[in-house]
Amino acid sequence: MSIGGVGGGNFNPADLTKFDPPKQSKFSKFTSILGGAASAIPGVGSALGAIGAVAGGGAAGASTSFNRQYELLQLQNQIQQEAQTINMISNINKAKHEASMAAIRNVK
Amino acid sequence: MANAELAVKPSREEKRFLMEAALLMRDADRLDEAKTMFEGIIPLVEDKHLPIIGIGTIHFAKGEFDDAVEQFEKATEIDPTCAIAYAHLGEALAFSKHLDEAELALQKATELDPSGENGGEMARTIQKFLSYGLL
Repeated sequence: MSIGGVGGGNFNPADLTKFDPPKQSKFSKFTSILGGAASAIPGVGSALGAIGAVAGGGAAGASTSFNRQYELLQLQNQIQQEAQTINMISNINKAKHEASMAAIRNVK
Repeated sequence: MANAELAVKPSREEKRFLMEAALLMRDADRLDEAKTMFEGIIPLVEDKHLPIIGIGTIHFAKGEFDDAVEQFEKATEIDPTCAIAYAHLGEALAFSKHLDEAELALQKATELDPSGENGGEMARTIQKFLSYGLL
């Protein structure tokens, strides 16, 4: 059985295990990390990540960059949610303090 | 002991000082001492619902939400126009998972104090917290 693109000759499932994914170049690794780190800045991260993916020249490089960015975006979302919760708790504490002070003011 | 029987009649400033001291005690996590102070303030003041709210906040701080609800309800019975009592009642009801009743109490607080200076703002903030599903 011949499958185009995989060796071009007879297909042997064992050949799949010999498949060597394209290695990331040093530049690709650098831009991938840079893209990830810069994803904290809206727009910049994705732009740098895209440059990294293109400059890396490989599908594996782009995939790694994408995964890294996805993880960082998730982390960023989590941090934003936590910050929002802390902010709301802080607001409640402030409002409660003000209510307590109002109670003191109202004492007759 | 009724107020008329007290040998000492504290001034308004002294009553305020006692209330503030009790609140500070509560915030310093000296909850039992703060409760004793609030209980002692009740016969001294005309607005008895205010130290009762204080006692409710101590139960709340201890995580005794049902007892807190009981105290805040008592405060709303004494003064049905006190937005602070309704705001605290709403919060305690929310923490004891009575969300519909909590929403009603918070709504009442915002209606009683639209300016937000006397508990209305606290109620609005808790309403926002609830709307995010954080409780």
